[in-house]
Amino acid sequence: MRSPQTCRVLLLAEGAYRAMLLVYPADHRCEYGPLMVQMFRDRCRDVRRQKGNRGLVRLWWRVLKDTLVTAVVEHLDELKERSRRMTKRQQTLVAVCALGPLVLWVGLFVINPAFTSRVLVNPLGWLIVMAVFLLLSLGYILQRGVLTHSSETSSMHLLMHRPALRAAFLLGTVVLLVLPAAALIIFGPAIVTLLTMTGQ
Amino acid sequence: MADTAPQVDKILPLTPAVFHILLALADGERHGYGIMLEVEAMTKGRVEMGPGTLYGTIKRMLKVGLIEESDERPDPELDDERRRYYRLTGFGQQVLAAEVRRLSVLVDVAQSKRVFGGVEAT
Repeated sequence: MRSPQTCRVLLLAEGAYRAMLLVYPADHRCEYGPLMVQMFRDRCRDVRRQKGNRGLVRLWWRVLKDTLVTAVVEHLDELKERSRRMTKRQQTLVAVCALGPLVLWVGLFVINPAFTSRVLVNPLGWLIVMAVFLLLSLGYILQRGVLTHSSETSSMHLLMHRPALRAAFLLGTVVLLVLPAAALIIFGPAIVTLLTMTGQ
Repeated sequence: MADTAPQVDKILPLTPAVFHILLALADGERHGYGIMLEVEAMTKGRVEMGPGTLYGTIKRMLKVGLIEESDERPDPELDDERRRYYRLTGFGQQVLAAEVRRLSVLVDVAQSKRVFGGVEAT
């Protein structure tokens, strides 16, 4: 029979691990998440029984490292899998989106090195870029979560099952999130630098 | 289910995680935690797989066709039905045997060169 304190510790550890699983791609999480939680629960129970709370702390450290490394591997795997399924046109589009800003900045640097250097050393500009990346990532996670979840829950399923609504959802994400974010990534630092220069 | 059935030689050498999982399943089917415990016992606690490594590797092994899910439960009365059991496929057994042969050739070479310094390999 386990004491209430042991139950509380194990429940807390399991809850924290469940939250940590959010770093994995949604597909992987849906398929293996419950199994991973179950395995973690079994492991915690055994470690706590054999080695006490110290053992649990060591287990946490190992699991944290394992999760961080394997989450990166799973994301890369998913990207590889997706790019394999992409058409040539989609691949080109992704390459342009990824390399576009870089090419633009190199071009700007060649044309006007003084201005570009000021942009590159502007911490506020980089802060905007980081914030926008965060926003994009959150949007991506939200969208993936809704689309994956929609195959299971009834109301969301009904909504997302209609092609027109699904298209509207995707279009909304692009117009409201991706385009402004991309614009800020590309022009954010330059705008900030221009504003700083005007203020001086 | 395997997408394709690649040739045995193309898969070798195996990563340590794949090799350990194949070895753990060599004498019967097991669920995820059972595999982890078996790997730990086989290696005397030197290798401890986390849930991320184990299920990531299992996913790729299922895809290549080295292992498959099993519907049978060794003892349904005692077991949690949400657990998934895995077992070696015929291809998985071939790959495991080929990897063991490859490693044993290397161990023979190491022994002939006295790499173990007179201490017998365990």
